[in-house]
Amino acid sequence: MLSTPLSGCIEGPWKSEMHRIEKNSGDDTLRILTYDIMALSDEMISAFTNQTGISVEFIRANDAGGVLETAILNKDRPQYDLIIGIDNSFLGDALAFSLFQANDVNVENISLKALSSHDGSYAVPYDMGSICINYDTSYVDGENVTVPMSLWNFTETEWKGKVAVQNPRTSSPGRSFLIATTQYFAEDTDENTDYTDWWAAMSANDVIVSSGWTEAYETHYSGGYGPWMDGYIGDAQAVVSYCHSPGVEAWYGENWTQSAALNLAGASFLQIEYAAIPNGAEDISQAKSFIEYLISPEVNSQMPTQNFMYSVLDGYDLPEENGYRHHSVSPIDTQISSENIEAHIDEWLNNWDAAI
Amino acid sequence: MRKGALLLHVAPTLLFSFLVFFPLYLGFTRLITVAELSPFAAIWQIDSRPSGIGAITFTFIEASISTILTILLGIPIAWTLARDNWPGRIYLRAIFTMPFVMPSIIAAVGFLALIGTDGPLYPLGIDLRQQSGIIGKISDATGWENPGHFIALIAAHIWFNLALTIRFLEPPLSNLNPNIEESIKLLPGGNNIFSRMKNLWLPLLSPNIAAASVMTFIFSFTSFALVRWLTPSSFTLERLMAEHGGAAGIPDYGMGDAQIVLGSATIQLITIMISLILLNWLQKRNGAAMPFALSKGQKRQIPYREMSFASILKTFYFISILIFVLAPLIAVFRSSFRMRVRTGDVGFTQQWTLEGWSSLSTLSWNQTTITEALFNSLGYAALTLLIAVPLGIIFANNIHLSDEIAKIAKTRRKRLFWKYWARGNDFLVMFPLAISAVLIGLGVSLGLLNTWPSLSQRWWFPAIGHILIATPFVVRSILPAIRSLNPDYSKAAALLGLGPIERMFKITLPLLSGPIVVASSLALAISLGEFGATWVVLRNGASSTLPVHIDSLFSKPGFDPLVTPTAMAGASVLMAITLILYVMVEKYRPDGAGGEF
Repeated sequence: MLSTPLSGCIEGPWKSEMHRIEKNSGDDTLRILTYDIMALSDEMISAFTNQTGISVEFIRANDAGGVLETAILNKDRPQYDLIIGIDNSFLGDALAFSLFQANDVNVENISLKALSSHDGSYAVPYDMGSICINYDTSYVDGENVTVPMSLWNFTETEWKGKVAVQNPRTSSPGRSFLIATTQYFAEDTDENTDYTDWWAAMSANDVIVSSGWTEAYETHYSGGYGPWMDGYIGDAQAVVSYCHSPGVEAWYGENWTQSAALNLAGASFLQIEYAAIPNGAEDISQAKSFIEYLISPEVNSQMPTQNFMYSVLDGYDLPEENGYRHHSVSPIDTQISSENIEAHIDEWLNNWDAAI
Repeated sequence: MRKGALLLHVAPTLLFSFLVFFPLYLGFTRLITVAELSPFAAIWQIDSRPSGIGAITFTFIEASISTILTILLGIPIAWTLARDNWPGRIYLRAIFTMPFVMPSIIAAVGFLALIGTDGPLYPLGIDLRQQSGIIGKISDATGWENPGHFIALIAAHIWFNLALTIRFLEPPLSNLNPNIEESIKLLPGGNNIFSRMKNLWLPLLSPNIAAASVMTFIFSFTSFALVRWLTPSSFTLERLMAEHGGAAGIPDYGMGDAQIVLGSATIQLITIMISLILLNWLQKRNGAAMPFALSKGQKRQIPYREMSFASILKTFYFISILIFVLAPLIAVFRSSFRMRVRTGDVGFTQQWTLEGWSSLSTLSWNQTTITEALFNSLGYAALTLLIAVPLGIIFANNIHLSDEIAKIAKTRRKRLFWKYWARGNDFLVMFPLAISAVLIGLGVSLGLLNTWPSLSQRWWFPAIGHILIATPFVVRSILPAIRSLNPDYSKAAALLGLGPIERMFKITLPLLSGPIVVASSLALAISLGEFGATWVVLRNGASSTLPVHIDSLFSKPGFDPLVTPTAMAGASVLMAITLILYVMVEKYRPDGAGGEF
């Protein structure tokens, strides 16, 4: 009665109740819990259905955090057979809650970098990208303001009130960057200070804290596309974003951007996003086929242009076209396991609250 | 009372209480468990969290200033609409009060478009967003952070709530018997404007000013979409609860968030309850101020005024308010045709385009296009209509009947019982409107969803919030009409042997067809525009509604220049549907129903 006219084979959630009845009678529909994955275009879903005969239905959450929360709430009696979109900053929590079951997806084509946080046995990586500070090159002119050589430079007066970060409690890039800072200051040569001192100094230097990525990048940051958006404020000349955001800017700006990513060893966090099969899932083989499709060269090589993330496969870099690769930076990321993150994240979040 | 009639009296009250209080109760107990704090201890946690710093103060200050300015700006409009013979008076009133039914997300993106660099204020030197020019000087001189954002928020709150002042104040002003006004001028207590203010106008208007103030205060206090977009660095308690609500219900995971949400919810509930009690007290204290009203059928003679300085001033004021009311809506529509295009050596320019409109059903975000979100919204609206309107009619009828029974009750005990039963039901049905959309949404998501997670897969689930929020509007539209029905019809029908249910269908409902159209249109508009509750509930699944989808599109990375014009085109569609519904409301609104919505 109320079914929505959807393109391709994606079925609207209006049908979900009806669907459950059908499903018990053994039809071929795969239900996926995810937030927006731009790589999963309607065409690609149609192609998957044509190849395998499995149709796909999505259950949507707001963001990576929303996917995890939904998965925790539905633990042991999931309404879906596949979860896509939990990243390695949340993976430890997901594993600690025993949300996933082991899978035997073949991951031999996946790069070591993509498997660095987790070996793929419970969650298979399908895209990745480093998170670091981006800066406005028209502000960092090399004379009055030089390219920062350390995160400590951002606590100095030329950056007072000019750095925008995301609240790690409400934003996944914000959470990733907080994790990077905990390691960066633990591993630097100065033994007297740690990340809490830096965040406190940033707070004293009027760091701008936003709820989410869009507000930080689009509203506050002067180096990206923000100046052409309604609601632009432009009070920040540096922002936490992806190290390849300037590349995406160039991709849409015909090889023009005034944004650059800061190439600072250990000050970035490699965010890796995973597909995983929940405990209690019924259609394991269908879920597995979808994961294999997601990491097949034909789909995964499209990640940079469809999803603005790196492919996880060996041998696929960003395209050269429009300066996408040229304007992107691949820094040496901080190394930390998802178990380690899970063990400490509450403490880091509380310390961050206290420092800001 | 017969069994059937008794059931009709008690069942809606029980059902509605259950829908309102049960999720809230479950939500609160869950928050207390996860937060590991009592509600009052949680209040002290708010200021120790980065997003919560200053949130309590900010909420009270913005709500108070919004209220004062809305009332001050609204009084001259109500006064003039009630007392002057303006050409097109009815249409002007309709336009001035229209923002109240507009979805808050439309106001948010409309004001953003107005104050941005591509908007009309920027070239005039009023830069409320980046706060250069005069706004920057104010900030530098006073040390006030982000005055421009604050001004934009207050302006948007005034825009939204002007309707309340106009609707509440116009009836007592236009119903005042002019003879009274003329007589009081001759008395020592009324021979100058100040003494008339003190002895006539204030006592006459104060209950309605109080009502308009409290409602405006509550709506500004619980503002979410506008705060989220217009004052990005500031938080109302409502915004805090919404943005921290996701993780707040999960034990061993969301303790920090649960503390913020619990503290905010506690202050908000207390504040709103105090406001409502205050309102009740103020209205009671000044309740007997209307013996001077025109009798039924007597029409007020509105003098045609000659051209004078005052009338020029009024015309200027009206034109300014007219522009103010229409500008954000025009800005939304205009922005749907603007897209940034790469030009020259450096940067982009804004150019005219139709691509936003042509992408309405192709540009997808979260596997949903605007067209699909619109169909979802229409589904929820239909469901809201089907449930909230009958429920509201039954409530209105019950409240009226209880009042009538109280009037003829033989014992004091019976009289009091029915009086308080009527008042209690009235309060109950207004409660969801007062406690804010996000709290309703949190009740549903933290209470119901966290207890029965599989509910999130039921497509009708988000409609619960819509029904709770729309029902008060239905009751407020129907109740005055039921009260003004001539009881003789019903009595005659009863004599002819018609039972209460037959009387309802054969007599009462046909007589109420106008108000029912009004109530239905309002219910549809409220459901289509509902933002806060849906935003919270949809965090975990189900299908996006159009307002929430527009918000998501604006939150999506905008590297692709197509995103903004498409979102604005979607907002224009939502705006157009709301306008059509509003025209229905205005067309069928009975005369003299101004005191309600």
